[in-house]
Amino acid sequence: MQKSSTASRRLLKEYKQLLTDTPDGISAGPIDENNMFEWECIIQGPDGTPYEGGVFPAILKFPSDYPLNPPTMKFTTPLFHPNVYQDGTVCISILHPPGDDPHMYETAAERWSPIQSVEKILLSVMSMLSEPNPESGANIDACKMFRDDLPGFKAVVRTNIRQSLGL
Amino acid sequence: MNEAACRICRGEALPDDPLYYPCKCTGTIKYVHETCLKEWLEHSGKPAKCELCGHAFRYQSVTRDSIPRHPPLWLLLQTAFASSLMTIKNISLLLTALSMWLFWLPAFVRLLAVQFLQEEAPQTIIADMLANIFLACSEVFSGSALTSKALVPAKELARFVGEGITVTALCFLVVLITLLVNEWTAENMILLQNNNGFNEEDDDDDDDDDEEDDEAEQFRQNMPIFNRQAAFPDLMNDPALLPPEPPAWNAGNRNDMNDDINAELAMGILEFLHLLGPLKELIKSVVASMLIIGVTLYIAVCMPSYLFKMVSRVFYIPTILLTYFPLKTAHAFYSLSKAVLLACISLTSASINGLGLAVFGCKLVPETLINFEGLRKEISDLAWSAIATALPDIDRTLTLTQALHQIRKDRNSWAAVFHGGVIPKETTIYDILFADCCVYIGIALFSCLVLAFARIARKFNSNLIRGNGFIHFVQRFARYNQHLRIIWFLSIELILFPLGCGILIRLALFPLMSPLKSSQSVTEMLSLSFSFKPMFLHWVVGTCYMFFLANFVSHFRRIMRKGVLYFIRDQHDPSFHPFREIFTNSVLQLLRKIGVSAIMYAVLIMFGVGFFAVMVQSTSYVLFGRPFMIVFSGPLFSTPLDLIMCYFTACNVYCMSYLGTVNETIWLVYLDHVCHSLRLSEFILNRKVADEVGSFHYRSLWDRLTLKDSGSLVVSDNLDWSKTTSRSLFILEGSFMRAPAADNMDLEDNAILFIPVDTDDKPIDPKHTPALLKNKQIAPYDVVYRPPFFKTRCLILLLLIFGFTGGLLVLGLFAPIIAGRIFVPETCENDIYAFVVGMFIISQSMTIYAALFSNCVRQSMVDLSHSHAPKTLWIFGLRFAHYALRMSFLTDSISTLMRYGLHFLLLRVVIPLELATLLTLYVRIPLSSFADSTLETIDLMQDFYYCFIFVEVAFNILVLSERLDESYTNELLVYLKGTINELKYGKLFWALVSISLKCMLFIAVPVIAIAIKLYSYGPLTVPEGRSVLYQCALTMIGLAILRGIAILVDHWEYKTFERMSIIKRKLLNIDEYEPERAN
Repeated sequence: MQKSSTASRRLLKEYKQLLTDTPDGISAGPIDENNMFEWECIIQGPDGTPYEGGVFPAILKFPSDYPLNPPTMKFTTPLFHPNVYQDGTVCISILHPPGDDPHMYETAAERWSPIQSVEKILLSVMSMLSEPNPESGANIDACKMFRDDLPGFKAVVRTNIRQSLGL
Repeated sequence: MNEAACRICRGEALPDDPLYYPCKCTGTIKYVHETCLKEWLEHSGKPAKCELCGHAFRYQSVTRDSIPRHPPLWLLLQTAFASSLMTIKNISLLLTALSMWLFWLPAFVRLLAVQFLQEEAPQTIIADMLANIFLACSEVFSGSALTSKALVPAKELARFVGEGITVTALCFLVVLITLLVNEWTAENMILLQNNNGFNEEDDDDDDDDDEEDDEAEQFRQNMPIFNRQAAFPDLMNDPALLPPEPPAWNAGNRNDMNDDINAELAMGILEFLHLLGPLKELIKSVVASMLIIGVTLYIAVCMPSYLFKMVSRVFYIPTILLTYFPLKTAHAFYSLSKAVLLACISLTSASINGLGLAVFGCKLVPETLINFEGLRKEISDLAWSAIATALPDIDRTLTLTQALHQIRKDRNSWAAVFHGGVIPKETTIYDILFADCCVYIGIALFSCLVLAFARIARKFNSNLIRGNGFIHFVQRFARYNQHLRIIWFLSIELILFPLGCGILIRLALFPLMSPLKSSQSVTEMLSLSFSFKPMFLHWVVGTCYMFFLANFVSHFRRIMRKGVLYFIRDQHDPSFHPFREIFTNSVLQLLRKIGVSAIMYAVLIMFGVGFFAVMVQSTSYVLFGRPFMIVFSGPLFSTPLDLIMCYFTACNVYCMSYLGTVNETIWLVYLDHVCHSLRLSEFILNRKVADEVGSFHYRSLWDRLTLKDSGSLVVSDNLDWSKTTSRSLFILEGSFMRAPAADNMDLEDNAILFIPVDTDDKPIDPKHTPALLKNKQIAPYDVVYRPPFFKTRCLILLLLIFGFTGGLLVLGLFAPIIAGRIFVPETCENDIYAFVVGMFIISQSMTIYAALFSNCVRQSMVDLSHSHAPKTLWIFGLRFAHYALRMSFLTDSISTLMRYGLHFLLLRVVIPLELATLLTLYVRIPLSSFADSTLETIDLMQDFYYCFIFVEVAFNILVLSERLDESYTNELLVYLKGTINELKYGKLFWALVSISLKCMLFIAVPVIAIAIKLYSYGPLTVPEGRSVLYQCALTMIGLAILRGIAILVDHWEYKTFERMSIIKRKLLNIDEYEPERAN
C-alpha cells in the first residue's frame, strides 16, 4: 500500500512535469486518471532517420514499487527495429531492472535507477530509434538486415510506417 | 520546479524526513531523502555510492555541541516512569488476553460442547493429559506440589478447561483450513480484494439461530471466516504490505519513549498470539470467536456425526438386504460418527504430545524449587499418556493405559522401570540436565555481561564528547565491540541454537525411547552430560536439523513481521545480510529476534519431531504389532544417533542387532504374528525352569510378545495336561516338552515348541517336523517347528522392513525440498498456504506409504503363517498387485501435480484429498473393534480413499486436456469462488443451489463407493484374492460412472453460473470479472 502510493505520487509529479515542459516529438500521460500505473505515449520518428514521419504509440506499464523498478514499454503498432521485440517490447538498457546484469557490459549510469524518469526513458527511446544498437539485439531479423543490408532495412521500415499510417 | 525535491520520490523535505545531499551531484538530482536512498540501496544491492558522480555516500552521526554530558535526572525519572507504566499496561493486557484465550473462551466452548455433544464429549486421555500439564505448570509456579485435597477441584477445573481448549483448537483448525482455502482463492480472485466483506455486527446477530438445514449452516460458515480474513489482514498479507505504524492503542505513548523496546517486545508477543487491539476490541473478538466457534463446532463436529447417524440409519435397511450381517454393517456405519470425533481428538492429542513434552522440558528445574516425587509422577503420566495416545488402535490404547495404570499403582516397580532400577541417588537425570542448564545459563549470563558492557561502551561512544581520558579507553574498547557482537551472535547461532535443537529433538523423541530392557537405558538415554562427544553429536545433528528446518520455516517467516525470525532468513532474500543486521540493529532488538526464533524452533521441533515420532510409532504398531522402540546398545549407547536424520535406519539396525543376530529378531517378530494368528493365548513355564537363572530369557521372551495383552503367563509346579488347551504354548526345560498333540515326540533340551492350529482350533499334526527335532544340534531358542518357506518369509520381511525404513528415510530427507520446490509453484505468493500444503503432503504421504508397506507385510505374514502356503502365496501376490495399483494411483496424482503445477490443482486435489486421507486413516481405527479382522475395514477405507484419488485425477486430467488456457483457469477460479460471488450479489438461492450440489457430490461419491464396496465384499469375511480384484474393478467402474454424472453436473453448474454472470454484467454495466493487473 505504502509503496504503490509513493509510486503513484511520483508518477503524478512526473506527469505534471511533462505537461508543463514537454520535449519535442514526445507526448505521454496516463490512460486513466485513476490508474497512474499505465501510460500511453506517442513518439514521433526522429528526422533524418528511416523512422522519419512515423508516429509510434506505446504503452508504459509501471510496477507497484516504481521507481525502485523500471517500467516496461511496449509499442502497440508493429515496429521493425533491432532493439524492439516482435511483440513491440522495447529492449534498452535504461529499462533493465537493477541487479540482473551478469555481464556488466552496461555501465551503472546507463541502467535503471530512480534518478531516471519517464521523460528520460522516452528520450532514450527516441535516440534508440535514430541509433539502433545491433550489439544487444531484440529482433534478430532486423539486426541482421541492419548490419548486412542497410538499404533493405530502410525500405522495410518505410513500408511498415506507411502501412501503420494507413497510406 | 524550483523547490528542492528528492531525486527518488520527487517529494519535498518534510519535518521528520529532511532532504540530504550525500554526493557531489547538483541540480534537480542534488537532494534525496534518507529513507528513499536506503530503500533504493537495499533494493538494488549495489555498493553505497552514487551511480552518477561515483561519490561514496557517507553517513556520520552528528551530535549537537549543546548536548549535555549527562541526561538530566528528571528526564531519566520521567522515562523510567513512562516505560514502567507502559510495561505494566502491556503485561496486564497480555495476561488478560491470555486468560481470555486460554480460560474463558475454552470454558465457554466446553459448555457449548456439552450442549452439542451430550455424552460424546472428549474423553479421558487428553483431559488427563491436559490436567497433568496444568498441574505441572501450577507446580512449577507454586513451588510445591498441591495437596491431594486441593488437587481435586483443580484437576476438575483443569480438565474442564483442557477439554475446552481441545475443542477450541479443533475449531480453530477447521476455521484455519477453510480460511486458507478462502484466502488462496481470494488471492487469485482480485475482485474480492476491494470487497471488504460483511459487517461484523450483522454477522454476530445472525449466528444466534442455529436450527437450520445444513446447507444454510455451511453458507453461514463462510461468513465469519470471510470476516476474520478482513479482520486480520495483516496476518495473511505479505509483510511488505504491513502498515508500519503500530495500532492505535499503542501509538499515543510511543512518542514519549526514545527506545520503546519493551513495548515492541510486548507487541511482538501479542502479534505472535494475534492479540492485537485494545481491551474492548479483544473482548469483542473473543465474543466473536465464541460465536464463530459455536457455529463451527456445530457444523464441523455435530453435523457430521448427525449426518453419519442418519446415514447409518438410512443404510440400516438396505444393508439387511445387501448382507447377511446387517447389524455388524450398520454398527460399523454408526461408529463412523464417533470415529470422526475420535479422529479429531487423536489428531489433537498427537499435537498435545508435543506440548506435553515441552512442559516436560520446562519442568527441569532445580530440586529446591519443586517436589521431585510429584514431578516424577507428572512426567511419568505425561510420558505414558504420550505413548498411549500414539497408538492408533483405541482399544489397544485403552488396554495399554490400563496396564500402565496397573504398573503405576505400584510406585516402586514403576520407579524401577523408569529409572532402570540402578540410578544412584546422587545422580538422577534431572541433576544431569540441571547441570547442563547451569552451563547454558552461565554462558548466557556471561554473554549478557559482555554485551551489557559493550552496550554501555557504545552509548558512551555515541553520546559523549571526545577528549576525556576515560572516554578514550571506552572508545578503544568500542572498537572491539563490533567483533564482540559478531562473536556473541555467531556463538548463539552456531553453537547454542544447534545444541538446543539437538537436545529438543532428543526430548521430542522421548515417546520412541524404550524404558524396557537394559538396566541402564533410561539414565543414559536421557542423559545430556556435558562431555564433549555427546555434546558434539547434539551439535552436529542440531545443525543439520536447523538447516533442514530452515527450508520450511523460510516460508513461515514471511507471515511474521519482517525480520522477526532472524536466524531463519530466506536465503534468496537480497536484503538479507546477517552482519549488517548485527551492526545496525540494537542489541535488545536482536535478543528479541533470538528469543522469538528460539520459541519458533522449539515449537517446530516439538511439534514436528514429536508428531513424527508418534507417527512412526503408530505405523510401527501396524508393522510389528507392537510399539516401535529405539533400542540402544554398545558404544553407540550414549550418542544421540536416534535423531531425526538417521534414526530411521539406525533404530532398525539397533533393533535388529539387539539380540545379537538378525535372524532371532525376525523370528521373534514372526513368532509374535504367528501366535496371534494361531490364537495362542497361554505361555506355560515350568516352575523348575522359572526358578533358575535361564528363565529370565523365557520371561523376557514373554514380555516381548504382544500376546501378553490377551494371554497369560502360567508358572506351574506340575504340568497338568488335562487343564491345557490347544491354545497353549508349552515351554519346558529338561528332557522333553510335550503337548496333547505331540505326546510321542522326543524333544531336545531348551527347545520351544508351538502347536499350530487350523481355523477350527484343531492342532495340525506336526508329523513333518520330527526330522528337525531329532537333530541334536538345535541351539537354545531355536524354532523347532519351522513353517514352510521360512527363509523366504524372513527375506521378504527383512526386505520390506528395510524398504520401509529406507523409503521413509528418503522421504524424510527429500520430501520437504520436493514439496518446497515443486508442489508449491513459485508464483504462489501466500506462504502460509505453501507451508501447510507442504506439511500435509509430507506427513500424509509418509503415513500412507508406511501404512501400505506395513499392511502388506502384516497381511502376508499372517496369511503365510497358515500352512496353506501355495495358496497364500497367490493371495500375497494378488495383494501386492492390489497395493501396487493403489500406489500407482497416488503416484499418478502426484505426477499430475508436478507436471502441471497449477494452483487450482492444489485446491481441487490436494487439500480435499489430504483431508480425506486424514479422515480415512483415522476413521478406520475404531472400526477395527467391530470386525474380527481389521484387514477388511482397512481395505475398505483405503479403497475409499484411493477411489477418491482416482476419480479426482481423472477429472482433473479431463479438465486439463479439454481446455487448458489462461482464460479458462480464471473462469475456473470464478467458478470455484462462485458461491461467494453469489452471496455478494445477494443471490441466496443460487448460492444454496451450488453449495448443496457440491455437498451432494462430496458426500455421494464416498457413500456410493462404500455401497459398491460392501456389495462386492459381501459379509465381512477374509477376502480371497480374486474377490479383491473383482471388487476393485467394480468400485472403479461404479465410481467412473458416478463421476461422469458429477462432471456433467459440474459443467451444468458452471455454465449456469457463467450465463448468470453475463447477465449480471450487462445489468450492472460493469466488468466485474476482469482481473486487475497488479503490475
